[in-house]
Amino acid sequence: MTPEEKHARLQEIFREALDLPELRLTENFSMADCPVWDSVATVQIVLAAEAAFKVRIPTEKVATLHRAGDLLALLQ
Amino acid sequence: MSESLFAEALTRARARRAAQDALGALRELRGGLDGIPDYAATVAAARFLENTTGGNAPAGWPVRRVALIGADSLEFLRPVLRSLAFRDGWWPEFYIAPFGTWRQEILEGQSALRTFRPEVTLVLRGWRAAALPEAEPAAGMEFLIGEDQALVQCATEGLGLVLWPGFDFPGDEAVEELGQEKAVSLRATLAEANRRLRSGLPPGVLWVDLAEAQVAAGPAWEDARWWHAARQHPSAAGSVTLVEAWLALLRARWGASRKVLVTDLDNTLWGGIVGEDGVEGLRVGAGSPEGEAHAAYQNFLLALKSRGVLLAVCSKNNPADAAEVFARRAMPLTREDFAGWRVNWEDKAENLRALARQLNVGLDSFVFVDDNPVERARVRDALPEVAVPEMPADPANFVAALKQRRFFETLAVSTEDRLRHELYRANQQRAELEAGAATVEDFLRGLDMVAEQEPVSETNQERVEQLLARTNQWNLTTRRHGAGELAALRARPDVLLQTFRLRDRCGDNGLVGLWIVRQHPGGDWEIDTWLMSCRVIGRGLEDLMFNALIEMIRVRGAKRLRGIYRPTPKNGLVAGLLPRLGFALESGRPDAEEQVYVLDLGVVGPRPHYIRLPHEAKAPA
Repeated sequence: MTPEEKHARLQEIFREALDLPELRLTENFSMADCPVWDSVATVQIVLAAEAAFKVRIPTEKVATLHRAGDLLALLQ
Repeated sequence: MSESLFAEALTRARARRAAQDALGALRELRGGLDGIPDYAATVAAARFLENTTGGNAPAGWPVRRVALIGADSLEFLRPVLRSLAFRDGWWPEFYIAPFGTWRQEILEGQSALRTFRPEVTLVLRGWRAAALPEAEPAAGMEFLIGEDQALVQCATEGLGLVLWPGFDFPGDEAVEELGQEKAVSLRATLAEANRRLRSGLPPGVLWVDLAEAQVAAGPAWEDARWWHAARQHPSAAGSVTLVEAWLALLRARWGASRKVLVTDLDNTLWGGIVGEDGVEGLRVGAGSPEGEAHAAYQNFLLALKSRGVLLAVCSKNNPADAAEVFARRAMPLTREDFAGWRVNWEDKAENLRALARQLNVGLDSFVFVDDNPVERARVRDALPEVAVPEMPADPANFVAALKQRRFFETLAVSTEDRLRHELYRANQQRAELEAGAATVEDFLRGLDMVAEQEPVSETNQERVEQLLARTNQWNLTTRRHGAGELAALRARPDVLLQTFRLRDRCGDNGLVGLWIVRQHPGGDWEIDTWLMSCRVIGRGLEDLMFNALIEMIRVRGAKRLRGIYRPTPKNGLVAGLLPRLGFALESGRPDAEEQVYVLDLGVVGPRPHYIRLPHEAKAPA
């Protein structure tokens, strides 16, 4: 997967998790500026990203995921 | 399979919502939840729902106040409950207790939980909450049981229907006592605690076997990562299994469990297509793995039948071909195991409607099993009330896919359940008699019906509980008294509870009628409950029951009898019952939630009917 494809797939995951069909995902998109991004959504995003990218995110990273960029970095 | 069902449905639902068709969007979403959605799908569905409805129940949907309390994080369960309850046709209004406050919430009289006045209280605590000393778990057991019993006792008041959990087991514990005679591990201690807590559970509280749910979920039940990161237990995957178990128990208690399984034949009941492979070419039974898998599915159906689930066939085939398979192939199921049989080339939705009429069971009690996605989509679209589980491609997984949904959960299996197939067989005989009779009166007289009346007792209470939980149509008030309430009512001198059995020349219908009347302090009597099983509707048993009621309360000096009709979507059948019996409307408009009627006992005489009592030589009419 190219970085562009990864970004597109992750954007799809965020759109579905947050029910924001028009969302344009940037690295700086964060929990702070998205009220519907709660801890339940984080679990959903992580589980969906793990399934899509065939990776497993370690425990210490799970608790500190607040920005889309944090997750993108883990998927590189 | 399942995942693509949901993803495609969500895409269609979004398109409908974008086109301002909210109702269509919800219908698409509901169909998409008919597989076995994973956690992410339930969260996506819940968010879609809340955004589409603004967080409110869709118009006309039943709303129930549901409290969720427990030892660990509970927020994770909200979306799963939201979306799967939506699939089941109701809308929870939530109270979710703050982390770790569950004991205070139960014990304090003015807690937020109690102020919420829940109709259902779901309690969750995993094995860690037992807090048994690791070095010597058994030493902490007496304290644990004492504390838990005090808590559950306190939870029986004011919290609605309480679902109390047993303990699950630590999934990663290496027990190292495989061969020991007396196990002392944490797991063995928790198993013993479960046994004792369950046997001492107060009546009316429903036990949730968390260990069973854990087995159903497999190793995915626990995910240490989310426990450490967010105090989430069970895992995301495990919470779907848990919510399915909760909902199954609620359906059982609310009389909404499924009662009929309709199966396709080709590539479902057996491997292959009879019209192409021929009777001998079909794979079923020993000889091939595929045949074994279909036989296992048949054995599962046979087990369901023995628990009272009705089986029916709906298949596009030549009737003679299908009959020949049953005549010539040795299979676990025989032709006689099916109470309904629709083998033709007609539309399956139409066939299901015909089966519902023949069996006298609502379509919302049906589960439709078919290997063909086109047929499944057709039935989902035409009959949204029928459950249409997404079936896996491999027949080896049929049984697991059906078990996961827990369609047929019951709280108790009674003798009536085991005999249900005989009952339906006798009903077919009656239908033939009726067709041959010149008038309804001739038919009823020819049946030679005999009724037996007896109070609710230890021996019949289980059946009475079941009637209370399941009877939807011929039911004046639909009050779902549970075991505890029933026992309390039986103990009161001002309450009368009578049951009625009905047999005739075609067979014994079993215990099919119940009324409960109580005396008010002012002297008036009131019908708390009056219900009849759908299998005896139209035989005049209600007239015999009414006469018995009047007689019993007159002996006790009654002058007036009040009757209440509480309309539900299903009990329109008895809307006109009380006026027909001579009751006059006292309050409540015809469309009110509760209509109160009153009957002056001074003017009322016995109703005619065609049923005799065991000691009578002939019926009164």
